[in-house]
Amino acid sequence: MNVQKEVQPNILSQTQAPLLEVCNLTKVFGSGLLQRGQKAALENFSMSIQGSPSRIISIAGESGSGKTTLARLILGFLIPTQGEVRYRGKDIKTMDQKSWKTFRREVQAIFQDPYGVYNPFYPIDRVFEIVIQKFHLAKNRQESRRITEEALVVVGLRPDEILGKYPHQLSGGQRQRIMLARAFLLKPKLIIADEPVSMIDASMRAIILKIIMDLKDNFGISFLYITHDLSTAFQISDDIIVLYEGLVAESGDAEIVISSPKHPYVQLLVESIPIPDPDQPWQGRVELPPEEELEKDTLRGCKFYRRCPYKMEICLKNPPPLYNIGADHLAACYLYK
Amino acid sequence: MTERKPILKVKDLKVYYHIDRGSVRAVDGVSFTVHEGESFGIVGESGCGKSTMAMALLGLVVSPGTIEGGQIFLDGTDILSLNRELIRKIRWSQISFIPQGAMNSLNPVMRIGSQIADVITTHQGYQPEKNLRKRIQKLLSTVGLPHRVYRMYPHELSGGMKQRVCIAMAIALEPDVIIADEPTSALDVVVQRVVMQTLVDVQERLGAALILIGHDMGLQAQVVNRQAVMYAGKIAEIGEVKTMYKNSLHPYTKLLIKSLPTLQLRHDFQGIPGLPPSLFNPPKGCVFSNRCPYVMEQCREAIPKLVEIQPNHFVACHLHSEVIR
Repeated sequence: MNVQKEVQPNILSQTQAPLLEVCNLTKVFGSGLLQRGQKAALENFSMSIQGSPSRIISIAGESGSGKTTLARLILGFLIPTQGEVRYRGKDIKTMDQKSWKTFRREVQAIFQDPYGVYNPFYPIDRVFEIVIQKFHLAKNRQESRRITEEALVVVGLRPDEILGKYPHQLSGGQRQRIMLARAFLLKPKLIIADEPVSMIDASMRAIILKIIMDLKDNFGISFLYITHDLSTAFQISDDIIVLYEGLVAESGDAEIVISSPKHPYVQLLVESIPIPDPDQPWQGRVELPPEEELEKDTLRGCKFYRRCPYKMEICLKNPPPLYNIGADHLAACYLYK
Repeated sequence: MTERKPILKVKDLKVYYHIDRGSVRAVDGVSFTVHEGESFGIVGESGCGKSTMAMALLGLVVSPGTIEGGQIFLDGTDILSLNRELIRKIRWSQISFIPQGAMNSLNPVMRIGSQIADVITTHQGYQPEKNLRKRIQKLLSTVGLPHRVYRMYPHELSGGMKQRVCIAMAIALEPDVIIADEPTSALDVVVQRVVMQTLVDVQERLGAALILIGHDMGLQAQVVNRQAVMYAGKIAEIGEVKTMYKNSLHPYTKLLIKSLPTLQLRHDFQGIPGLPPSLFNPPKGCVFSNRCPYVMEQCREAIPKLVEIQPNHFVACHLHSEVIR
């Protein structure tokens, strides 16, 4: 796939640092006056995104696994308890204003709820006008209109059907595509998409996922695709990281991880996906232990212990480190020691 | 399957919402039959009228919605002809409901035990506390919850546990029909699987019919025997799940199945371009005509009827009514 796009002369790109680097990121949420009941939403998480060639990296996990916390940390909405997020080699917490502005422009976000992100009082056009103004993308009105229309066409919308309308007049799928168009307008290098299709109907979901793949292939935009849905992750992503309770359970090439998962948790997840084929029913039964038992046992050891079919003694002593089990394939499980 | 007695028969049901600008035809001439003890799925995308239909089956359509026509026979009686008091009696004892967001359907300031007790005493009158508790604890264990849940408040339970409390409530009076409206859409896949397992178990034990409403074709394929596909207030296709996924006849069903991401082949899915029609003024002909790749002239003129093309397989599409004639 040809990803050769106009190379902008950029002082930042002189260093060969990866586009985005996340080092030992930890976020602990406290509660109560004395910060008792602390909970680590994300623990010691590291990853890096090279940026070119562009890739789609999925962060998958159940609710409470820390995937949204990760997105918010990368976007700078949350301050990490420990560790840092580096964009083009610079820590986003301490970077100068100019780099911050570049970061804000080149890293865009798409959120889950396509209803909540719009101000219902303004027509759709305003979404584009604001970014065009903020980042001085156009010299005059005509140009502004032209680039807006271009962006809408890229995401498969007809400008005359969208511009001038109010958010309530559009469907969820249209609104989510407008968000992609808005992000596209800024020529980003990375889009953090937090559950972008979970509220979209199946027939439209596929269309949005196709647009994401198209933006990656033809415009060199990398994606961090955050999802609970392994089947869409399998379809579009190059790499996948599966989180469980704030820790990486397994990571690697998306196709390999999902077609032959190694970590018992990921195996359970993949088996539980309801396959749209009555001839492939769920195999066996799954039982969940009561919640409080989960917490008691797993204070020190592997957090998946209670639910794991392969419990071993060692699992209770220390949390398992990530073991290398293949080319770029890691799993945090003592089975692979 | 065919020997089973029909328990719920819906005939030409129409539910419209009347608002200032006109009326929205949320359910427009829907007919289907559900047999005793079977699990029947109703799938469709948001806004296709599936939840409105659930409300109609429960006699819970409220203004601005009205039932414009049709009949709903539950075990032989037309519930639409009953007065509110009689419907109240039937609801829950004969036809019960598991809502979408269990999180929001439990009373946050009442213990789980008393909420379930409410259901029982409302319908069956006063019962000694001891018997009631025993009965409720038995119900809780049926859905795989420990006895102590009886004394707990909803906020102490996880999403999956709350959903199971709702299942316990729905089966408290051993109804003939259980309607579940997207019972697991807010849950994680593993929890979803456990909750569905529980639901199917209790349904089979009771011998009740289950109507599973949802948008997730994958879940439907796993759980139900027969399925109706709804689009824009109408039924596009009804058939046995086994034949429907391999051999769907309606173009909408075909495309919907193709739009699902699978785990076999990467990059193998496609969406359905276009949007569902406005239910204010639906098109003159087939409601799917503006998105259908096989659209013909007559599709824009005449509304296709739901016809039985093969035994137990009904389709509303001109492509197939041709063949029959």
